[in-house]
Amino acid sequence: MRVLLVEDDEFLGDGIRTGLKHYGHTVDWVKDGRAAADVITSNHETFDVIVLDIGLPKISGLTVLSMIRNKNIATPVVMLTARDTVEDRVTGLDEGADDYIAKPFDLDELCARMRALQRRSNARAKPVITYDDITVDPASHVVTYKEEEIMVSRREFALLQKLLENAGRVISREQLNQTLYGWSENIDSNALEVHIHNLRKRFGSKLIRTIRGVGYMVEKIE
Amino acid sequence: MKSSIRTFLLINLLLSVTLIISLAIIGNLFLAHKDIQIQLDAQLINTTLHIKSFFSDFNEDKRDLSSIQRSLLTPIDTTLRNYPGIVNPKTHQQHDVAKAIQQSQNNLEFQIWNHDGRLILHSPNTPKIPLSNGKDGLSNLWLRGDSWRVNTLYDPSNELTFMVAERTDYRQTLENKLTKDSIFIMLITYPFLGLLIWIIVGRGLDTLKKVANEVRHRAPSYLKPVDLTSVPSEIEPLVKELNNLFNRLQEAFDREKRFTADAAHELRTPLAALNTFTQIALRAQTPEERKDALLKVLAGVNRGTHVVQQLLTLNRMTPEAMRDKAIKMDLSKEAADIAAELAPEAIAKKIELELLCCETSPIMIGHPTAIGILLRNLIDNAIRYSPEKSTVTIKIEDRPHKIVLRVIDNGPGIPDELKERVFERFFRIIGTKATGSGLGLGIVLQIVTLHHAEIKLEKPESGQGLDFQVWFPKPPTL
Repeated sequence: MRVLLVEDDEFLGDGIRTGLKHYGHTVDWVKDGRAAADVITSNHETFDVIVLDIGLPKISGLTVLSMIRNKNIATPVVMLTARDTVEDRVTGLDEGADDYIAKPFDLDELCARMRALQRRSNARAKPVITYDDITVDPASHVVTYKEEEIMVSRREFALLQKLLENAGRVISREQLNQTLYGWSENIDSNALEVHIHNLRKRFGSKLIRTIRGVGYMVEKIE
Repeated sequence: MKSSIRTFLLINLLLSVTLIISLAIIGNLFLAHKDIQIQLDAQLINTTLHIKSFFSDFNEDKRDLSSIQRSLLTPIDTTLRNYPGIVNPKTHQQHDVAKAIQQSQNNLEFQIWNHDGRLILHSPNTPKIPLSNGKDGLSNLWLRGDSWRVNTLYDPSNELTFMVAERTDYRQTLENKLTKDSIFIMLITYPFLGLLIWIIVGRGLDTLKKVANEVRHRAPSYLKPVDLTSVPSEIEPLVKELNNLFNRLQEAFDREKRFTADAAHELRTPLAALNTFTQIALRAQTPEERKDALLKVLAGVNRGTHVVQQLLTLNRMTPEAMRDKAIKMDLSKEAADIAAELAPEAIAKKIELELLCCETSPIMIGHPTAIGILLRNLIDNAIRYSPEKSTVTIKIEDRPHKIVLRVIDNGPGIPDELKERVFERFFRIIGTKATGSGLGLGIVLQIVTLHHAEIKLEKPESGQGLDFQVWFPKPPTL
């Protein structure tokens, strides 16, 4: 999934970004509150989860949170904080945070919490995504097709998850590119087509439909 | 014994009242004595005049006084036999009246002398000699062991001399009775007075109790000032001081709270990073990846160590925690040592580090360890924030009454509006790239305060960077 990391500490930020990448996430990182608010409220950016530090320069994490919630942006937010009194946690949750994790934390736990938030924001009860005879397990990164385990790359996994979770909706190329690459990496303009092609080869050509000039979609099963 | 306002007021008010009343009684006695004297003298003269008037047309040959004399000598009980209450007193009052009559009978004597010195009429117990020397007017007399007042009056028309005497100890008795009564009244009103004072003072002190109660029932962290509107003006200064103390405590409390929060942030963030990189190392697929992550872990440990060290230093640089004594020391020598120590870092950044000392090496009084830390922090900061290939200058100047240490760099400087805040613990200017604990300048300030020195933040002549000055007081020349 695509994660926006808002953390002012270079060292910790570097650690979280590297760690989350290991878990197969696409991570974009900003270092102060103002930049975070700008990115989140921009129309061109969609994130699956925001990891937000409370102690930020320029604008505090809590202010950023109330700003984006005031703009009706419902992206799930995990607060990162060194302050862990009950009072702090209550304030954070009341300002619109969805979850709260105190420093120092465990990367596994952070990822589990992010997965839980994504599941909830997609109104999904089960941790494993099931579509027809395909299952996708975000926790173990295992994909099965007709009860057989299928090997897919990190990016193809993210692409499949994104499309299946949004079954019935067209996802734009831009959005899909963001999910796979974020901002930092140089994107080959054909890369997305290559990944789509690989997925069709494995799960049949009818799974993903191309909407010309707009993007791709997986049809909803009634 | 514990001093009590109530007891103090009670004892002192009662003593004051006793003193004042005693003075009043003495004054009163003195005035009353004079008044009574005059009154009684006037009465004595009047009595004389009355007696005299009975004898206005007196002619000894024509009038026989023996019957009057006889009647005068008749015992009083016989005379008053028609007053059964007095002869045989039954009630208390009758008894008192009878007693008073008995007493007053012996209080007045009179004599009437004719022209050839014969006593023609007199009171029953009077002596047979004249009560005075015969001159008109008032005089004193000693008779039967008592002191008497005598009035003498000569009537030329019938050549009679009237002498009337009154016992003065009877007068004294009257005055004594007055005094006794006053003292008696004072004594019986005393307990009431004491009680009243006790109650009134207690009431007055109730407000104190109220304030005490308000403070007593506070939670330790509740440091709002006490409301002054219901406090009497006398204890307002006390309550005001109390409120000042509350304010100072609140500030200290807030500062500590902020410090704890900041310290938590400053310690937990590197710990979180350590945790993260350790997990990355554990999960690494290739040796390169693992090595990379472990190097980060090492850097994180170093950073955490630095923060902890700075925190400990900060706590050691307080007057209470200072172990070594302030001694005479040469600031230039100390600066040279620290500059030598930090030179490799400067060289690594291609920064030229120069030390300019004045010719006289001024002696100052200081804690060498603390001064060392101060120099290291300032020079280290200068190197850290200066761009590559620039110059960091350390200057020591001998000024009148002051020794000035200046560390001048070409770094980004400090904006005016942040000049106060940079000394706050954990404060770091936004966008600062160089790493640090955020405690360095807090430590510097602590050491400067410890040495009663002053800090000035100036712009160097070049216009770019920071000229950090510490003005140490010069010890008095011996």
